Amino acid sequence: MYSREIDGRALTITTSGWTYYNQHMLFDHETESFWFHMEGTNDLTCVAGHYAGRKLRGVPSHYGPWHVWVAEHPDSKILKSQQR
Amino acid sequence: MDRLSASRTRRRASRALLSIVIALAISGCSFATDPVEEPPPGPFYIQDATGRRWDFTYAIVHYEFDLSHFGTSKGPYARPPITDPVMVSPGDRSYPPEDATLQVLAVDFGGERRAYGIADIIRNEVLDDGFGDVHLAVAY
Repeated sequence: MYSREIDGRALTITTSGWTYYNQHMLFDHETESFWFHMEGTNDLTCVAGHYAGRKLRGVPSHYGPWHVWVAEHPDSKILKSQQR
Repeated sequence: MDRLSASRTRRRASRALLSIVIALAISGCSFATDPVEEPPPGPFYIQDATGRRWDFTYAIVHYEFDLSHFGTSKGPYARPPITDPVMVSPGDRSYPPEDATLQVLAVDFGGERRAYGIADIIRNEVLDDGFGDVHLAVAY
């Protein structure tokens, strides 16, 4: 999970469709820059395009079973599912 | 000027000329060994399935990316992100039970907790959300 703010603007982040070493390369619609989570960092690094060399800050997040998360955070909202 | 003096003068002139020739030769050699400034590498492009080419020179030059490790792509506009996520709260009819078997990515941001079912974001791969004025991307 990452901040998508840079220079006072919010970017629309999407998948680029490419993977690099089996890891998704991301892309922003506004500047058509490519963003990649470099090994050993928490951030997204812009590897090509307008923001080349700049970073989007990583945000700590939880990945795991719902029951673990909701037990610790019973007030949590959840994305409305199209499948449930 | 007698013959001996004339001979010495010619020898001196020959030596001087030889010195000049050697100096020029050395100077020429030094020009030949000056480092040649090489043009910057690239540009390097990668092409998506729509035929559009994208410049990845920066990634290769600065991060040593290897284009052979890229697969194919239908292009960055082929799969849009989720941009208008609808969240449900505890008590809502579609709120999953605590023992539901689903994997989530979740965040506690500024005291607000939100979870995103992996099965619901995997198709788009990215969800762009907002916490008030703060904008986050959820990527899986």
